[in-house]
Amino acid sequence: MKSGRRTKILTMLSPAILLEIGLFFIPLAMLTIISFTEKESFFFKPVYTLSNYTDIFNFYGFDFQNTFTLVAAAAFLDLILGYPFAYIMVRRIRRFADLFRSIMLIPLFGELYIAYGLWFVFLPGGPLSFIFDFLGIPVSKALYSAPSAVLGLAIYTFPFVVYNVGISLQEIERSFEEAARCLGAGAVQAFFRITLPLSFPGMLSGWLMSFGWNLGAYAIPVIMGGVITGQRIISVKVYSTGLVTMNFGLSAALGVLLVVVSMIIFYVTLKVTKGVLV
Amino acid sequence: MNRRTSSLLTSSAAYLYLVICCAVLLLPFIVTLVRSVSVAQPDGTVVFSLAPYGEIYQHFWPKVNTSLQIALFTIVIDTVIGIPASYALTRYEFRGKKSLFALLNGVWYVPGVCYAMALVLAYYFVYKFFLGFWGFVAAYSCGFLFLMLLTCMVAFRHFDPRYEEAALCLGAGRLRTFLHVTLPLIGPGVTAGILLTFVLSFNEFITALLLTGPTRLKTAPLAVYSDIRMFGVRETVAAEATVLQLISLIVVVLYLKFIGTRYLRGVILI
Amino acid sequence: MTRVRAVNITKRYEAVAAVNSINLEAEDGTFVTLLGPSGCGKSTTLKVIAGLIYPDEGEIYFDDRNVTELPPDKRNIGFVFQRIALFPHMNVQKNIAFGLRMKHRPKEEIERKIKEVLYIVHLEGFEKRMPSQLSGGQAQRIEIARVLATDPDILLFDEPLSNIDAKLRDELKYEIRRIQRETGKTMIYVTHDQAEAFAISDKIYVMNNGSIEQIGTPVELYVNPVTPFVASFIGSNNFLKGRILDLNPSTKVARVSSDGMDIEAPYSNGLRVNDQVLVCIRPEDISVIGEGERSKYNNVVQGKIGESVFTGLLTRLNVNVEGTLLKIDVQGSERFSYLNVKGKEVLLGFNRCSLITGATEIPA
Repeated sequence: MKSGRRTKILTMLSPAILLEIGLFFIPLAMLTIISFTEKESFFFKPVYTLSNYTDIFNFYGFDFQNTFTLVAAAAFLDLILGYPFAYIMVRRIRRFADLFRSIMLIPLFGELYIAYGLWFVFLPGGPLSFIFDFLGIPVSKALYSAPSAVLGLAIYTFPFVVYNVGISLQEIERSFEEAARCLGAGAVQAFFRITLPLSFPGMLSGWLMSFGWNLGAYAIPVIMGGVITGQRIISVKVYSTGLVTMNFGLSAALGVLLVVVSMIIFYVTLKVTKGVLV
Repeated sequence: MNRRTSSLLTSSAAYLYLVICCAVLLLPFIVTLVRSVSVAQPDGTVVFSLAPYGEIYQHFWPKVNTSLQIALFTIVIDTVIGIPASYALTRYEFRGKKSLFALLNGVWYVPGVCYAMALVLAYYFVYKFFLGFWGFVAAYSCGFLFLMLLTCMVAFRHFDPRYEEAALCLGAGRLRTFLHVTLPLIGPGVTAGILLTFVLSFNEFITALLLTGPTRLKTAPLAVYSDIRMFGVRETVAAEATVLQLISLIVVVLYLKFIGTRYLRGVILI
Repeated sequence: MTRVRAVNITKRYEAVAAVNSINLEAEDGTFVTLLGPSGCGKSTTLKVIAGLIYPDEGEIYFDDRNVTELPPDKRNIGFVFQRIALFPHMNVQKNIAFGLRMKHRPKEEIERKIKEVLYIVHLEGFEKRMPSQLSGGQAQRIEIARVLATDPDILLFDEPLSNIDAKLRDELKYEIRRIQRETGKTMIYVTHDQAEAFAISDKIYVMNNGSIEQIGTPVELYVNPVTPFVASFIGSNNFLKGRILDLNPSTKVARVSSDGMDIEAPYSNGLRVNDQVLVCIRPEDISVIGEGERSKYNNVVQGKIGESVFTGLLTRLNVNVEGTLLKIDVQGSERFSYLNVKGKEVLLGFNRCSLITGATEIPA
């Protein structure tokens, strides 16, 4: 029975849908509504205004720019370091593959630990401070700067890039590279002309996933980036304007904008990967 | 140099690269671990000591307990909700399926802070009764549902519908087929979702940071964060961080030992 | 153009030898085929010749040059893969041009070559098509065109037709043969399909479990298999265990006793009286005869028909002769007379059979 089938599908999906509506859509709706109110007015008598958004436009431009720069840089770093990793995992190694795969799970534990551990490393007198001495970088510049934040972010999303690029590489038949070799291309040529172009979708979705995931990073920029760089990113601003300055309107507005950006990235990623799972 | 040596060199270089990358990924954990057992003596030397762990036990353990309980309930709820949902999404065709799937996974792409802030606002205004422990569980259940969905969908994909068809032909009803045939065969794939949900919800800290206000509850990662801000380099803080990471590590290692990476591939690993 | 020699090639994976001390020779301009079941090591051997796999032992020679240490891009070969390896992100033109661009040939030469090879494979005008727009047969021919464009010394084809449907496979194998003849290049071809190998090869290496069982022309392999594997892999065969009773070098006759039957088989030099042998008789070499035809045949036996199966082209009879089951193929218009003959007593006669020495077990 057609209707019987439909009810069956509905029963199986309804708990999930209800959960999502209740704890995802409604909160987001609240966020959007409050973004149009003035400061904490929603708590008492809502005063609706667009001033939050105009404030953002006028004063928070740098924060957005800073956030995007840091996150994009991290995504690129991930791509550069992660592509070879994925390539080696897929094409070259046979032993210890599981061990390397398992280590990929560690960044999932949380950015807090990455931030904290890296912080130790970069502190003066830390275990690896000799590297900084060797490179001639004064420690005060190394820590609490953009590069260290970028490094932290890159470590955090490294597995995502490896995963995306890896999936893409797995789909490329080995015989393509072999055919290129037999036609006279050296190993390097075969890679750049055949494998790299064909793995582009994986590179793109990996970059996007890293970018999107890092937009929500909080601990790493705060702990690693210091006051100048670290505090001026959007996720921190959402928190500070909201729960420190109690300017809920502004906080919500910042949040809404960040969500919009993320959603755009999500949409683009879906298009690129062509929604493979459904 | 002949081909054998050159291919040996390339393999070695390849392995070396993997090892270096993994070392960098492990670096934060190892540094934290080392710091947590290095106690400075009055005379200036640094010795190995497990004292920091004893010091933190009293006030830290209850928080770890709380986090474990939250994670547990989240897992249970997400499994119960996630399995039927992913079954419906893989086995049936219906209009709007792709959009529904995208919507259910939307949480993944919303930055943590924004989602947490939205939740805080919702908790204050809409769900005035939803505070405390269950506030956390509810938030995490929704936030991590996508993990269960993804893993279960991959598991269902690899599960041949022929087994279900055979059971039906042999006279088992839909529910019994599900319980006796589908679930046992899907089980291992589902465990991957459970593992990921545990790891992410146990260590989750951003939502905890924001939710601690309305719920008056402090989870373990949150305690670590505030201690970092207050005490910084002290070995007790390192000990706290190490404990949490060790718990996660043990769970992961046990999982990998008994089940392996099989069911994580296609979801988060290659 | 080039003579290929593989000397003592061994390749191991873990502890198993996929290819075990193989020796192979393909004379200049000949069509040599490696024939065998899946997993016998034929593709591995081909890839070692190509340089895609580095052997654990042994060398490869092109004419007198030892090319073992050379990577595939330096060997000037044309390798066609089992699954289509046309680069999906390039159109036909760019695919064909690829090899020539690697050699930095001038643009005019490349354009000329493209037209030339498309003409050879009968696909003129396909320059701008993408691989996804080609049918299986077209894609395979473009792949052949692509390897021809670089003017390789040797052609190496790895089961190119196994993913093509049967009808097309038939046409394409003669195309491949024609191209090889016209270009005069040495061809080493891998397949598991016996009929395909027979139709187009000059010389066949039959392989099994990493080793070569027999080398010969199609006729030699068919008429005189030297191992049980070859006898059962090529065509159908009846196998009888026997012992040499008597040898007569002048009349070229060996008498073999087998299961109560006395069989006249061809004599060969290596035979000794009392040797254990396998007698191989092809089903189509046995005829159902009448009483008056006994003198026409060296060997006549009596039996009772069990099953008869009509396959269209022939009728196969399973006949019980003194406890042994023999398969007989009846062809021509006669085959219709044997459709419902279960239990009928018949007289069978045959002349041609072959002997395999050193083997006592009947192959599965």
